[in-house]
Order: sequence, then structure tokens, then C-alpha cells
Amino acid sequence: MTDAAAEHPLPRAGWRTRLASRLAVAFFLPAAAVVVFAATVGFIEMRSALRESAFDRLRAATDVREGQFDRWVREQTNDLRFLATMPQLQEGITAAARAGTGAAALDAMLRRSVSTQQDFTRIVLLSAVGGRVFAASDSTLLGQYRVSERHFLEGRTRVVVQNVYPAPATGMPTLTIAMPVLAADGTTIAVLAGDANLARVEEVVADRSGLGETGDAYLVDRFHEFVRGNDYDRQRFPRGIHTPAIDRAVSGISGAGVYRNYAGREVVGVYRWMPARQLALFAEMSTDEAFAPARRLVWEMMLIGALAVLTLALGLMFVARHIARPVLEIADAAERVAGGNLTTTAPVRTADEIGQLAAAFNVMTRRLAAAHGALEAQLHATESAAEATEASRRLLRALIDHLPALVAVKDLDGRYLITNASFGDFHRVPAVTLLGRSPAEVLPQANAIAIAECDAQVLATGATLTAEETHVVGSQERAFLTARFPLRDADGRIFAIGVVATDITERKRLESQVLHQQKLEAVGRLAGGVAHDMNNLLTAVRCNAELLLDGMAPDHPDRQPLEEIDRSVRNGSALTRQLLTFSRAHVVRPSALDVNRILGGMTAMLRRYVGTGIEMRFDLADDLWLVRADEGQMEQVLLNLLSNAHDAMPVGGTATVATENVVVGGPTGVVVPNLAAGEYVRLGVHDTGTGIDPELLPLLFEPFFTTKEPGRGTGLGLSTAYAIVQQALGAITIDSVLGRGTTFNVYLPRHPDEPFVAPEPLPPRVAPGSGEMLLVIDDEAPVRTALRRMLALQGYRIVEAQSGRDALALFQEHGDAIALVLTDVFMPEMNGPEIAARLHEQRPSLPVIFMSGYTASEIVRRGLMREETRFLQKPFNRPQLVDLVAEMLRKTQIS
Amino acid sequence: MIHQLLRAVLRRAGIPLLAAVAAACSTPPADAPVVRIGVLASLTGPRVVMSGASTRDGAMLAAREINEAGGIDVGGVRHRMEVVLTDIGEGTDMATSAAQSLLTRPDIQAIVGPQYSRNALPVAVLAERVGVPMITPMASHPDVTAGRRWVYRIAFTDDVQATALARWAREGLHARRAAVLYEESASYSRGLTERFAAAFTQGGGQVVAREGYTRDRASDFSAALGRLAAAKPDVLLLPNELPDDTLQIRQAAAAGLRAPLLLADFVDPNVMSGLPMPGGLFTTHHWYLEGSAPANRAFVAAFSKVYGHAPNATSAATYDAVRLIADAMHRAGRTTPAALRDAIAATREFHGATGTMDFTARQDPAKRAVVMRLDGGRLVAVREMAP
Repeated sequence: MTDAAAEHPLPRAGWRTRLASRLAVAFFLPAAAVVVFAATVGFIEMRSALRESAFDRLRAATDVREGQFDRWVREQTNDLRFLATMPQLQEGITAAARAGTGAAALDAMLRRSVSTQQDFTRIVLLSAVGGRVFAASDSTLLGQYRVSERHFLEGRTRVVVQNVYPAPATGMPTLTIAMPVLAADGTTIAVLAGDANLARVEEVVADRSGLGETGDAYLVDRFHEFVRGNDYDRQRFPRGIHTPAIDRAVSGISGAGVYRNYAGREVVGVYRWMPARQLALFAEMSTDEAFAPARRLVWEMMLIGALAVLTLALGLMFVARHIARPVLEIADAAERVAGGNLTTTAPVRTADEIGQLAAAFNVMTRRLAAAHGALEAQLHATESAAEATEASRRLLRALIDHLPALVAVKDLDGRYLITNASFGDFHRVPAVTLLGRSPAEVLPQANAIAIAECDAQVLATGATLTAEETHVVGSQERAFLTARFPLRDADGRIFAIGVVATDITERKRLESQVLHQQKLEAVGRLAGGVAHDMNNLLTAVRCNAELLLDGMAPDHPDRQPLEEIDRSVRNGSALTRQLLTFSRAHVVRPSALDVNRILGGMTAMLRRYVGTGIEMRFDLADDLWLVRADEGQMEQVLLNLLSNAHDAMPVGGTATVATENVVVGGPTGVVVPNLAAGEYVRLGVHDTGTGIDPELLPLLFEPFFTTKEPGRGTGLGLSTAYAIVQQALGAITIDSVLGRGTTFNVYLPRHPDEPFVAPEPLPPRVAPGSGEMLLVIDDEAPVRTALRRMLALQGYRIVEAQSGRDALALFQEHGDAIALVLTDVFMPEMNGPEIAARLHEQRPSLPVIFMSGYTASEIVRRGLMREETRFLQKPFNRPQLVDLVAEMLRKTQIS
Repeated sequence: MIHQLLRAVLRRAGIPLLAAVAAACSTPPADAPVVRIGVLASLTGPRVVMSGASTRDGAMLAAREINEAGGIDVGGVRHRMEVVLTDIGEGTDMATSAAQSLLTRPDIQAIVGPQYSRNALPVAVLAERVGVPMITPMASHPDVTAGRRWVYRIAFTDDVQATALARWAREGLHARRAAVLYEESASYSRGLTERFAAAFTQGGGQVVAREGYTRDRASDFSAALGRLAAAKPDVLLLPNELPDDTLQIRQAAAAGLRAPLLLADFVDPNVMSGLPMPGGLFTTHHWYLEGSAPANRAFVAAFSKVYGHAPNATSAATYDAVRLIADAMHRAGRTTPAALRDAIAATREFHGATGTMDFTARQDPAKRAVVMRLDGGRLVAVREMAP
């Protein structure tokens, strides 16, 4: 309280006099307002009356001028008519027509008329036919044709006044009066046409009489040009004169008003459109002159009023001083209170309004003391609230700074107001340094433009905008799921734009990886199905071909075609095998493998495979770790990659096969995309060929993708390799430079087992059968037939069943006579393993051979769990079939 | 087969492409600033069919195309183009009055027209004085643009046209004797007659008879044609406007004139085919329907699509004039008449339906004249004459 008083000392000097003078002023102001109001009303009233009187004067003036104008035109018409009827003129015309030459006498006559009368600028005679100027007061006009002008066309038969128009010959505003010159017999022998002197018209109109000191009257034609139209006006108003009054008048409206005229002067004016002349007539006088009496009246009223008010105010001031004293005592008390003394009271001397004021002042002082205490308490509360706000601000700051998402707030010009730590990290600068900058300063231009467009959309719609965006900082390209939303103040006005961007780069990468896997699986299932059916067909073809070949003389003419069939079937089955591998339907036997050993066994074959134009190099690591993989599949991967290398080097080059031990991940290991950390063996195949177009790289492992001509490649090689390596938990990478070459690197996980197990020795060949009964079950009749023929040749007896039910019936019928069962796996009603299970219920030791082209199924794996069962991959050849049957029968006999 | 099928399916199932939709430019909004140009055309009277309607159609098509393409970009602001069609009726005094009404409107930035030299000559005087650019599409009298700063034209001049007709008469028709029926009250007709006579005489021919008439006596030419027939001309030049020349063709045949007819650029096959013309009819234009320039092909196609009939030279030249103004205004970056005039004068290579134009050194574009024969209701180009 004391501080406040020190800062704002109360004014002491002049206090008494001011109170009194205020009372005087309180009276003076309304009194003065009344005086001013009265003066204003008086002025407006008078001005209105003066304006109406001015309008009347000006209207009368325009009436006079319009009449004068018309009279002037009539006079000129009469003068011209007089000329037209002069016998000398008619004679001259007749003479000129006869002579067929110029008419100097006529020219002189017309010149004389112009110079004596001065109301025409030029007078011409037009030929009655063609409207040619054959005589003129101005010789430059001679020879012109006015054949399509109104004053000629109409002037041939009657008197015509052609209102102001731009004359074709000169372009100047012209008023032309024309009439026929008649011969004695009444025929038109010429047209007499005079261009009126518009300067004279202006003289008539511009006469000041009746217009007062500042009056002005003028004519404007329908082209917004002064009729007097001297060059000065043209340069000043090249596009014509345009004021609201002129525009109205030229559009055919007559009226009156107070307006600014063409010179910018405020005038009282009357304008009139004269339709007969196609001209607008203006009569104007300045408002200064028109309203001068009204202004004089105002000054007089103001002066008298001011004197009266001033006298009264002085008297009032004297009275006010007496009333003011008790009030001043209260003022003193108030001053003490203002000094901090809240215990002060003011004396209550009278019972009137001022006494009440003193009493009320004392009550107020007490209340003020109480309120002061309460105020200090509230101050404390406000301070703690500010601290709480600051704490929650810090909390929010910490929260957004630890959010993995990018958070920013921008003002309406796109400059950052708030940015969190992740935002700064993404831009590789401390977040605070971005404040006040715009995206255009920190991002590539294309991104900044895209952001600005998004922001504009948010501002335009006021709605949240969610989008996926890609942003590049340095070499880093990241995908974001971005939400942009307007921030509104308490009135709902947008004052900023908020952005929250979640980095979804990793998620998108995983999505595309999953998509690729799903595609491969779908194609795999399809390929597996195709291979299954194809294998059934191939089995029948192959068995039958072999049956025919069997016992055929070496020079039999059918032998070669049959061998051709057999070869084609082998090729076909190689293809189905590849399909099955690709679909992971192949029976895989992974074991601990030494990749160097496999390469060692294939060296000669690989050199042959790549051909003579290509040099083959090997760069194999010593002490290479073992890997866990299927040997046959590894060979296939190698062949596929080398096949690719061969195709990439149509004009020769070098193919290098390299192996090495690699540690992936960890602090010292190399980084390989899509590969878990661990120990791997790298198998690299490098060629110096054409390289691969970067655009094609993502397609390379797609099934059926090939750059070869149709018929030259299946498009399955690389996708099969990919499938095999994936199955072995490894990865394939490609490095390719167009024109320089390509390297495929296969990473295979290290196998922990050490020993190398030598393959089992092949079992000895067995003797053919000796009448054992075999049950053959297959729903495909051609397969059954082929099997029967082949096995019968080996000395077995065969019973056939085309379904599970038939098989069970036959087994009942023949019982123990059946030594072995061959069954297809997939059949309608009852599948192979189910049939085997039913038979094994009756005779557990019964040997069963499953035949199928399709091995992916869990059914097959379950069926193979018994000792007595074996699996034969379709299509098989005779030795495979016969050897397996004999081996199974021998085992049974031994046991 | 199965491979191809699978490949196709797999490609389809690939990652969907993100397509960005660009906001296409369209007609400027209704509240866009407006550029107004006045178009002077005979919309009443006997010339409406030949000239007025063609002028209107050519101008409207150009304005419509300009607006549909987003308007005129003047200094970064899209402007809508508005054509203020103004009737100039029949008489020259009416033409000057109509032109002056347009020229004194401050919102008019340029005028197109008039098409006839006798109207274009006085209007050019007004445009020059007021300081508003004027482009006449068809007026061919050399004096329309001569010595002026604000006046340009699209068509060729009568010098080019008269010389081409004279050369064709001498070289193509091997004529030695020419007769002329011309309107002496029309500067266009007079000028063509004089220029033809000079070129024909210089080429070794002779103008053996000429007859003049005036506009107010333009219905019966048989007496004059009879006198011309008596001179036994090899060709008859009729450098006159429609519809006079239609009557003249009919009456020439009646008067026994069998010589080939030479007409100037007023020939309209729609009106004239079917008239008796035993010696054939030849004309010159600076434009013809089958012209192979891409700009012309596009114009002819657009015009025919909108109006359902083929355009004539008046439509083509008017179309070019409106588009030239839009192009110049864009280059000027301002809408003031002075800036527009400077930009028109700086036009270097404007590809119009009537040819490529350069106004950097002249106000009349260098145009070749195409000599054409009226043949079965259409005009067939027989020879091109370089300017």
C-alpha cells in the first residue's frame, strides 16, 4: 500500500480550484453542445434550403441553355437552307455536273459562307449519287465519299441534323446539318452538308448569366468528351471524362446533386440529358458560393451562444467553491488512507449528502483494512499456482522430449515454435536451434513444399490431416505417419499447427518383407499342387515307356522315339523337383556339410558348366566352418548362381567362387540385411558380366521373373535358391554395378557338429521276385497298370485296388498271401497312411511303400514314422521301384 | 503360359503405388479480375452473315479457350477474359461512334476490329489518339496501320493480295487483258484496283476497261458489265464486298462475260457456290481451311466442334487477334494499354491459326497469299505466293 502511494503521489496543487472548475465545466459542456447542435441544425436546414434554391436556379439556367442550343441549331439550319436555295448554287452545281470537272466557283461560294457566318467550320456539297465531295470550303475534303454516312443517306431527301459523332475523316466530334439541294423540278441534284462550329455552341452554353460568380456550364457528348473538345482536354482525359454525374447523364439520366465535378471541385450541379441532341448539359456552381449564407449563420449563432455560456460558467464557479469545503476534508482523510494509514476517519459534520459521504468513507476505510489482509493471502496462492503451472510445463516438456515420435508446433508462417528432442535428432541438430526456422531451411525443397501444402490444407479445413510421408535428411530416408492438426485459442481461432510424426520406416520394411513371404508361399502352394499331379502323369508315362523299351531289340525303329519320351520325362521330373524344392515340399535331409568339399567335388563339372569363354576361379578359405544344409540343395544353389553368372557374361569374363567364415552383427561383426547376428559361412559367386539394372533388383527373387527370352529360362532359378537359403535360415545378398558385374553372397549358419558322416554304401542289387503277391493301390488307372506290368515282369503277382475300400476288401479276401502293399498317398475317401494304419491293425509287420509326387504333407510324415513303411518319390524309374520292393521283402524275410 | 499368367498376377499384387493427385487448372473463379477487350462487328445489316457472325464466333471461341485454360496469367494473377461485343452496324459514322464509345471506357484494354478497311481506317485514327491498342483481323488496306503506333493487323495487306491476283492472272491464267468493276466509294476497292492495275501492267498485261460504282447504287450493274464485256477481257476483277459481288457474278454471266473471275478476300463459298461462273472464280486469302500448321488444325477442329460448321478466314483471323492480345498481356505482366502495346510490338513468334506472326519490326505480319479456286462449294488452294 505504501509502495503504491510512493509510486503515484496524489496531486495536491490546484485540487481546490479544479473541483470548482470541474463543476463549471460540467455545466459548460452540455450548454456548449446545445449551442453547437442548434448551430448545426440551423446550418443543415439552411443548406438544404439553399441547395434547393440553387437547383432551381441551375435548372432554369439549363432550360435557357437547352432552348438557346435548339434555337442556335435551328438558326444554322435556316442559314444552310438559305444557301441551298440560292439560285447561284443550283446553277453552279448544274454547270459543274455538265462540265464534269472541279467547281472552283462553288468552292469559293462555300468558303465565303464559312468565313462570314463563323457558325460552320466547313461546308461541302455531296454528289446526289455516291456522296462524293465535289465542292468544299476546305479543299482537303474534295474527293471523299460519304456514301454510308447518315447525313448523306438521309440528307438526300430531307433536312437532317446528325448529332455529335466522331467524323470518319478527322475523328473529331462533329455535328453535321445536311439537306438536299433541289432543282426546279424537285429532283435532288446534290446534298449540302455543314459541320457546325462547336466552339460557337460552347460559347452559347458557357455564358455565365444566371450561374453566379463561380458558375460553369458545359456540354459532354455520349463518348464522355467535352463538346468544345480542344486538344488540351484530350490529353488530360484520353479515355474520356468519367465522374459519377457524367456517367449518369451520358447513360440518359437527368438529375441534380452535390458532387465533385471533372476538375475535382465540389459543386452544386444540375445535369440534363438531351435525347434530341444526344448530349449532356451541365450547369454547376461551387458549394462555397452556394452555401455561403449558411456558413455565415453558423458563425453568428456560435458566437452569441459562446458568450452566454461563458458568463453562466463564471457564476457557477463562485457557488461551487462554497459547496466544496466539506468535500475537501474528506479528500484530506482519503489522502492519509492513501499514505497507508488505514485507521484514519473523516469528520462527519452535517446530515446532508456530504455528511453521508464522510460516514460512508469511514466504513470504506475499515473494509479496506480487512480487504488488504485478504489480498496478501491471495497473492501467496497465485504464486503457488504459477509454480504448479511451471512444473506441469516442465513435465510436458520432458514427456515430449522423451517421445520417440517427432513433435513440433509451427506458427501460421510455418516457423517452428516448439520442437522435441526426437525432432532435433532427426534433423541432426539440437532441437532448440530449429526454433524460429521453417521447414524450407532444414529440409530439401520438395519436402518443404509438400509440408507447406499439408499445412495449408490443415489451415483451410481446420481438420486434422493424417498422412504417410517420406522425408530425407542427409542420406537418411525415413517414412513417417504424420498427424497435422490445428491449435486453437480460446476463441477458436487457429494460431498454430501441431505435428506428430511417428517413424514407421521399420514397420513398412517388415510389411514389405511379410508381403514377399506371403507371395512366395502362395506360389509355393500352387507349384506344389502342380508338381503333385504332374508327377502322377510322369510316373505313368515313364513306367510305360520303360516297359515298352524292355525287351525291344536295339535296332527296333520305335526304340529311339521311346528313349526320347523317357528323356523328356526325366527332364519333366527335374522341373517338378525344382518346383517342389521351391515350394519346400521336397524332402530335405539337412546334415553338417563342408562347402569346400562340395565345391571340390564339383570343380570339373562347374568348369564345364560355365563353358570355355569364361574363366573359372576359386578362392576358398582354409578351416571353413561346417554348415547345416541339404547337400543336393546346396549343389542346386551353386548351379543356379553360376548359371546366372554364365548368362550375365555373353562375351566371356571371369566367374569367381569364394568361401569364407563371417561373423555377422555384434560389435565387430559385419552387417548383413535380414540376417540375425551369429556365425556364418559366406559362399560368394562373382561375375564380371553386364550387371543388373537397379530397378530390377527387387524383382530378382520373384518366382518366374526372368530377363531371358521366353523358353530359355524358367524364372525359377534364383527364387529357388532364395527359398533354399531361407529354409536353411541363411540369406542371399546382391551387389551389382551396371556394366561391371554382379556378386551373389549366400550366408549359411554355422553347424555346431563337427564330424562328417560318410554316406551309406549302396545296397546290393537283389534278385527278382518269386511269385509274391503285391497289393497296388492308386486311384489313377494308368499308374496302376504301369506298376502291374513292371512288377509282373519281375515275377510278382499283383492285385489292384483303386480305393481304400477296394483295398481293404482285397486284403480280407487274400489275407496273408499279400506280402507287400504299394499305395498312393493322396486319394479321395481314404488316403494312403489311413489305409496303411487299417492294414497294420490286422498285420503290424506288413511292409508298405507310399508313392507320391508331393511330400510336403504332414500326412506323409506321420505315415513314415513306422519301420515297415518307406517312401517312393514319383516319378520313379523301374530300378528304383524294383530295388525298393525287393529290399522291403528281404527285410521281412530276415525278420 | 502358366508362367506368364502367374507373372501378371504377381505384378498386379505388388505394392500399391502412391498416386499424387495434382489440382488441375480450371476456369478462373467468377470473382477473378477481368480483362475486357472490345470487339467491333457488324451485328446488324447485310454483313452480319458474312462478317459479323464470323467475327463474333472467332472471338468467343478464343475467349472461351483462354478462360477454360485458366484465364490469362498477368503478373502471377489469373484474369478472366471478357469480350465486349459491339455492333458497328452499316455506316462508317456508326462505326466511329461505336468505336469511340468503347475507347472512352477505361475498363477496355484493347479493341479488335473493325473488319472492313473503310471502317478500320477512321477507327484507327481514334485508337491512335486515345492510346488503346487495336488489332484489325481482316482490314487489308495498307493505310490502316501505316505510320501508327497503336494499330496492328492479322491479315495480309492489299499490296500482297493485289500482286498475287495479278501474278496469277498473268502466270496461271495467261491473261493479257483485264477488266475491273469496282466500288469507287470504298477505299478498299479503289486501292485494290490501283494496285492490281500496277502489278498487272508491270507483268506485261493491260487493264483494258474499268467501271466504278458507288455504294448507294449497288444493285444493277448490267450497264457497266455490258461495257466491260465489250472490251473482251481475259479476266474480270471484282474487288468488292459481299453482297455486291454476288450480284455482279450473276449479272456478269447474264451480260455474256465468260472470262475467269478474280475476287479478293471476300469470297464465301457458302454464299457463292451455285452462281453461274463459266470461266471459274479465283480468289486469295491469307488463310485456308486445310492449312496444315498444328495451330490451324487445332483451331479448325475446335471451331467445327463448337459451332457445327467449318470456320472462315474472318473467324480465323479474329480468333488469332484475341489470342494474340491474351498472349501479349501475359508477357506484359500488366493490363495497362501502354504495356500491352509494347508487348504486342515485341511479339516475335506467335503461332496463330493464320500463320506465325512477328511484329518486332512491323505492324503487318509477313503473310503469304494463297490463290484459291472456288470448286464445287469449297475453296481449293491452287498456289501459294510468298509475300
